[in-house]
Amino acid sequence: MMNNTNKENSLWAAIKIGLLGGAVALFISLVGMAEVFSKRDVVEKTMTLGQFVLLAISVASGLLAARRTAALLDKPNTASQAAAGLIAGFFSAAILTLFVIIGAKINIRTVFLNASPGLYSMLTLNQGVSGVWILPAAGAVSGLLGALSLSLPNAVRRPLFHAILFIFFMALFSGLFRVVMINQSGFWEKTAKYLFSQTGMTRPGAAIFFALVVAISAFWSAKGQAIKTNVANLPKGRQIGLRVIAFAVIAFIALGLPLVSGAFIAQVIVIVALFILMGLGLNITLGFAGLLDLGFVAFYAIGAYTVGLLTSYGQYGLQHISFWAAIPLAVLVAMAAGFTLGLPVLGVRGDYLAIATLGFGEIVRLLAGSDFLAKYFGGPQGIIGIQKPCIGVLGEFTKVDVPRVCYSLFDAAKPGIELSTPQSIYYIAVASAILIAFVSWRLRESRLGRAWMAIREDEDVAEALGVNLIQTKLLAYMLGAAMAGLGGAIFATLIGSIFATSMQLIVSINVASLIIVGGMGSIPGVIVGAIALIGLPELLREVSEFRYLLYGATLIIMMLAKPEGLWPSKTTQRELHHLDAGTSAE
Amino acid sequence: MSMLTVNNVHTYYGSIHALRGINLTIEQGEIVTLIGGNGAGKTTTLRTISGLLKPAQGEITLEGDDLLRYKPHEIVYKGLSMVPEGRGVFARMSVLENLEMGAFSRNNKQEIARNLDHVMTLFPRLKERRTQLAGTLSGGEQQMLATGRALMAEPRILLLDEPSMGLAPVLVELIFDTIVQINKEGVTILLVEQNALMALSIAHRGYVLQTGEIVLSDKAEKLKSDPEVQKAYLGIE
Ligand SMILES: Nc1ncnc2c1ncn2[C@@H]1O[C@H](COP(=O)(O)OP(=O)(O)O)[C@@H](O)[C@H]1O
Ligand SMILES: [Mg+2]
Repeated sequence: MMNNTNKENSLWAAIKIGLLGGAVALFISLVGMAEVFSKRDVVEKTMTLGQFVLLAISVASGLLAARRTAALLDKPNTASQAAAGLIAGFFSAAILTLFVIIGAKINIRTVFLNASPGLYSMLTLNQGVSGVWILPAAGAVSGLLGALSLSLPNAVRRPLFHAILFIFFMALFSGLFRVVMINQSGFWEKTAKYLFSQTGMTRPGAAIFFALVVAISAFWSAKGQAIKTNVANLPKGRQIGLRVIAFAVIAFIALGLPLVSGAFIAQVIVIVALFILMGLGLNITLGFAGLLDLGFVAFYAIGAYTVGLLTSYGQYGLQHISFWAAIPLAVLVAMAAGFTLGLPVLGVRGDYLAIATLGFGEIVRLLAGSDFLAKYFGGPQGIIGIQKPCIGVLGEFTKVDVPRVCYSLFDAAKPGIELSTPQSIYYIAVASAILIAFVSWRLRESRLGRAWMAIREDEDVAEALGVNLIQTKLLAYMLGAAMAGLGGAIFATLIGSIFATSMQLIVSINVASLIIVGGMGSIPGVIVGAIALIGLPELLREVSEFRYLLYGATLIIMMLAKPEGLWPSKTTQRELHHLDAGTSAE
Repeated sequence: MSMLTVNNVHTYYGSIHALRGINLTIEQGEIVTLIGGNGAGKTTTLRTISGLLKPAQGEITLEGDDLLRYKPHEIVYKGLSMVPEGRGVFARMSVLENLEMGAFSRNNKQEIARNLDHVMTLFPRLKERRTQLAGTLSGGEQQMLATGRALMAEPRILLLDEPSMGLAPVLVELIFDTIVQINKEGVTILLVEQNALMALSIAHRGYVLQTGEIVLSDKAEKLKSDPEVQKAYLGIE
């Protein structure tokens, strides 16, 4: 009897999981993502990215249903799990099937713009309505495979999982890899053409990547622990040697990257570095000191406008100093702005602080773009003609709209090195990000860092222990602002012009999101968060249309599955660990 | 000269007149307790003494030095520490970091290290849990931590706000034993309590606070046997 009800439960659970997967698949189709993805191949002439994603949903449904069955039944066995997987897989495709059938009869495109003929033919493998059975069949098989994967030993399942994940990753980025490799010509060009097609991977390419990742993953899960202990047991000198080698390799790659990457990738990396700078800045005010700041973009804008006004050869240039001289001034001006923001909101806490800082950000943006101040800041037209950094000697400023010439340091007749491409700004941006990460780390370990954390935890107690609240909070605002200001300054030179419209509230929200996703208060977390939330969407032009959708999904999933962030600070890790274990009894 | 004197102090929260002319004197080396019911103004008194609240009127002196001249964060440098109501440990910092934060007002690394050892011998539990996050400690351990943190400032006078709150009787006893020991080592104590019986049993003198006014003050044993006090605070009819 007992067993019977459980069986019913597990059947119902499988159907529920399947329908949930089906809803996700339908959603992806209706927002147009499936169709966009179907223009990219995972494996040329075999499977499109769209198919891959839909099948992955069915596989995942099957796997989850099988796991649920195992938890519900007293004596779970492979057969019942497989059945659950099959059912869940079937239902995960059933909604789409219904959708195709209905769509063939009624035109629903007036409501759902993306319910296009292209989508229907993609879902039925170009068979039309007569091919609609393909969907549930594929779903059921995928669900079954997902369920069966549960009974594979870990040593097999993990490498397979890694390989599939990697194939997905490569499918997304194959275009980029291909372009970079083809630009190198010769051997690299040939390899690229062998591995990648115009739209994805070639069959041999996919097979090679798959085999490679399976092999590496299997090897690492078998020997990884042993290698780690071996390294840990090495004499100190050798360990330092290994570190130096690893460091040299990373430095070599970092220095060489712009030489091969091309302008696009270099620019994306610069943008990521700029967001890392802003993230590190907000990490000080919000992560360390616990002071929410939703107007953070203002400091970025102030850094950018300072460099613009001080170096531009356009009509709004106030001074014509070099980029190098303008940078420290931009940082100082941003710090002063941090002070100006900090002073009035010193006594403001919590929600009110969020509103007050948000207002500050909007005021700065509106003033910079206003007609009222247009004669200083260019209004909506912005500031153009920002002088590129020059390694060498800058020639005299002659007249408006004529850039100053960059001469060689040694021979005034020869041209110097002008850092005008994204590939050359790359070095400035990455070096700044590394420097500021180091500064952040030293700050956190300092007396000031401790004071920040103490006021984050309890202002009154911190004050009673001798922390000067005014000074400590103002320093948090000022140092955070300085870092964002540096980012803005580099941004201005990268683009060569600045417009108030690019300083939207959404930038502040992006920065806050990336520290939350990375792990609040964690310096590596800022870097990981910037790469995940800024770098990946920038690189994946196809999905940029769905950027904020994926953004939101990522944030929700993160908050549910990994609230401490991708790379949490040690403290947060410990906190969650201990909370799980429960507090000790009195 | 007295360790601490509070003379005719009035404190307001907006229009609420919370302290209505408080007078207290605490001599060097004493344990003095301030007892009173909920909302009598005990916490307000301690927060006013430690500078977190500004009195509208009155004088507060520490060994003759006018405390009202100083900013809140400067008071600790004068040798006065407080263990706040509800402990106020820094939840997301480790036990060790909490204790180090306690020595924020000091510079001499060696002296701080010696102090840390001393706190660890006073509260061996803290030593066991030095890397644990303070927010995950039990109530008793948090009370030990808050007390240890206050001691890290090497105070001459320690203010404790209801250390027994929410603790099991055994733990209350342990905390009070430690307070006596801290006092024997030369630290003057001002102990605020609702648990009047326990407080009066370790204190030398006591004050009774009622709706912002001191209504009684005497030697601790005298207060213990006072019929009014017995009725109102000791649960003896
Ligand atoms: N932040 C505050 N704002 C307004 N009134 C307060 C505040 N804190 C305490 N009070 C009032 O001041 C009086 C004394 O409070 P408190 O010092 O906390 O009492 P006790 O510590 O003796 O329980 C109470 O009437 C309380 O309601
Ligand atoms: Mg109280």
